[in-house]
Amino acid sequence: MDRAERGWGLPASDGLRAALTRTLGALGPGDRLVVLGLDGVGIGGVELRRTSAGIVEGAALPPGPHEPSPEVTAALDRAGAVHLVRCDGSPAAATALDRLLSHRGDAETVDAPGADVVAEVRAAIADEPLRYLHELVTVQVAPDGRLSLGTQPLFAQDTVRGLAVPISVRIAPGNPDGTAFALVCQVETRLRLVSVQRLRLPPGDHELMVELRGPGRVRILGAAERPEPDHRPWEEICGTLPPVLAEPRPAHLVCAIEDGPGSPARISRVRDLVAETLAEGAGRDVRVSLVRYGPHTRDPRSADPGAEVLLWEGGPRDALDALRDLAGKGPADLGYHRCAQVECALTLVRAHARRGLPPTALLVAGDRPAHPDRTAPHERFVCPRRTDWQPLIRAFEAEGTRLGALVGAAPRQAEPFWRTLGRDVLATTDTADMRAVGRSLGVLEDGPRRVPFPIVVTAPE
Amino acid sequence: MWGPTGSGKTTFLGALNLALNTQESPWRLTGADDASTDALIDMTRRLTEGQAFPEATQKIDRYRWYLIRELEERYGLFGRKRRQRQLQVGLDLVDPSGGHYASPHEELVEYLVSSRGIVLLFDPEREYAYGDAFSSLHAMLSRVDKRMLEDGLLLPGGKLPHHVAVCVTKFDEYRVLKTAERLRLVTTDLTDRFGFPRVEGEDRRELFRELCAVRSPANAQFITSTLERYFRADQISYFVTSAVGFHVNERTELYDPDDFSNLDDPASGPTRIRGPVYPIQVLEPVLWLSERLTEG
Repeated sequence: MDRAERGWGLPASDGLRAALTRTLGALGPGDRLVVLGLDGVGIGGVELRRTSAGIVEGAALPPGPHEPSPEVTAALDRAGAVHLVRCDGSPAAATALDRLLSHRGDAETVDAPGADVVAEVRAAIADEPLRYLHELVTVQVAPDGRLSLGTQPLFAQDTVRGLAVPISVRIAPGNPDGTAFALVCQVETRLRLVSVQRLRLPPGDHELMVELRGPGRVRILGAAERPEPDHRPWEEICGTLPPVLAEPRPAHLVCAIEDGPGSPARISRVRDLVAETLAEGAGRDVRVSLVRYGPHTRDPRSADPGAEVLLWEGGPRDALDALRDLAGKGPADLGYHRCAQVECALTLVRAHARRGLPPTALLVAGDRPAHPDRTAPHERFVCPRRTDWQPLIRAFEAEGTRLGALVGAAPRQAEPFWRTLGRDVLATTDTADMRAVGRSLGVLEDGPRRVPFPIVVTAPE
Repeated sequence: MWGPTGSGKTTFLGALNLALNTQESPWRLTGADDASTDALIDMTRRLTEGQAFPEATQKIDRYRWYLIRELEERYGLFGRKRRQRQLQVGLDLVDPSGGHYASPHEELVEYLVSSRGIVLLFDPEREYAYGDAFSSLHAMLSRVDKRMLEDGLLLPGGKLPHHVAVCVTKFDEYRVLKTAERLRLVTTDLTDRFGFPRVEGEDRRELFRELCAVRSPANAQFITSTLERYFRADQISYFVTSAVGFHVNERTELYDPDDFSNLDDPASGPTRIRGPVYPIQVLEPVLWLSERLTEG
């Protein structure tokens, strides 16, 4: 470039900006541009490359003395265009310029005293008009509930930064990893991924604004939390998309807890499970019922303490409160050591369930098996009410209630009673993964079947 | 009395006195000496008040009791005169500790040689666990047989002279009762106010044979043939007994087939008796022996 063309009449940065704008405009997909600033201290700059999506990506070159580093020399060798920016009139800068020009004689030199070369490059990139339509990846819901990926246009070609458009999105429940806001652009017939941000929004409808901050760069406004870059592999993000959008059914978790030695641990684990439903279940109607039970008494002179409903169809927070109260009372005495009135607790659950939402899941956290309804080879102490636990279990099974058991020790798990009761999940109290227990019981999402993108997008005006 | 550890010998003795009271028997039991009287009192108290099993025997105990009843006797030329008479049967019960059952002890052999009636306790639960009834029975009878042959005490047919009351114990245990029920050997005495199950007559021998086979089917044949080889068949009688009996429902005051166990398993310590003790066929073998030994 001839020195007469450098635009002396313009501010130094304007001349640099104009040169950058012009060169960037001519940069095609895959082309590279190196911009180096030279001053009395040394050489620094960036290497830019336009992607197939039309977005300019840049990487800083390591600053160094006036002798070009190997990295700078390699960047100069592979660049299609080079800008050398003389930022001061120091002899060292002039010498370095001559040296670089001897390496890349086609380089365009620009005088921009005092310019921040990197900042000027950033601004020039941001000011570029969009080469392609920018769209937001969304989930489309067919009338039959089936889900598919789609896009919603956001910013048209040639739009420049500063424009903001409103969008209405619906966030599906059960996505603790956050919802991905993925920006794509269509180049010829192919969609090119531009950027992905992750935003943790509660399930439901949200009104947001999307502001264009430059090609491939948007800022999402209106959310309580700041978005963060989503570095998950694209396949992983898309892989959680379920085939259909199942409306979350109300869940009714019934927990029967054996009161006695070891009950603090049982209460704690049930609390863990309820807390998980609270964390994940926003937007889902999760009801929790709690039943406490202990052993029958063998003494005919004493009143037999029955099972007790602590909470019925309460919210998870109510359940947490009730469990805290139960824990505060301390464990009951052991009483009869070999059996507890599980069968009467099950009877109580069935009686209450007739009046409300049937239990989705029944979890018995205990250690002692039920009393038999009649004298058995392994047990002499029969239930005073002659309640047989087996038809009760079968009735729950027939109604589709998932059954789980938390037992105190692994050997207990071998007992027929616990294996029957723990049909869907049988775990040891101290070591159970309560998220897994919740998933097995159907009160927590079963696996990563999550809607990863916004469901509904209202097109910008 | 002869039976292994845990077969219920001591409990059987304690239950004997209770049986005399609860079954409205004309017989009463009294100690022939202070030690036997004290033992009777202690064992009865344990079963009724303490509701704990009498302690297992640690040595050979010999109890000397009398079974006593009043009897109206006719006499005179035409038998028209009547008078009250007291019938008294000496009852020497030898209660060896269970350990002697497995290895014949000379002292026990002597007792058996000098006695003419044996209460042989057969514990089906023990037989199921150890299967040693035949070997123990055979070892002991061989020793006794040898001694009595040497002393010329065998009967003309070469049999031992004893009367043997073979008592299947622990009829109240689940597997014993259910075995009897499965074989359709259980009846109910309509005059029994609680309606307890019982096994009567020849059915007792059949149940005994069946229970001898719980560990090994061959044992059933060995045990019964051994008994009948050493003793005259008409001097053997079978009983199906329970010292603690069955539980009586507090509300109905009847035997409850769904809740029949009269035992409890506390978290610690020995098994306890759950409620009032109603011994089953504990008295009958002793009375049978008494009657047979006093005949003629």
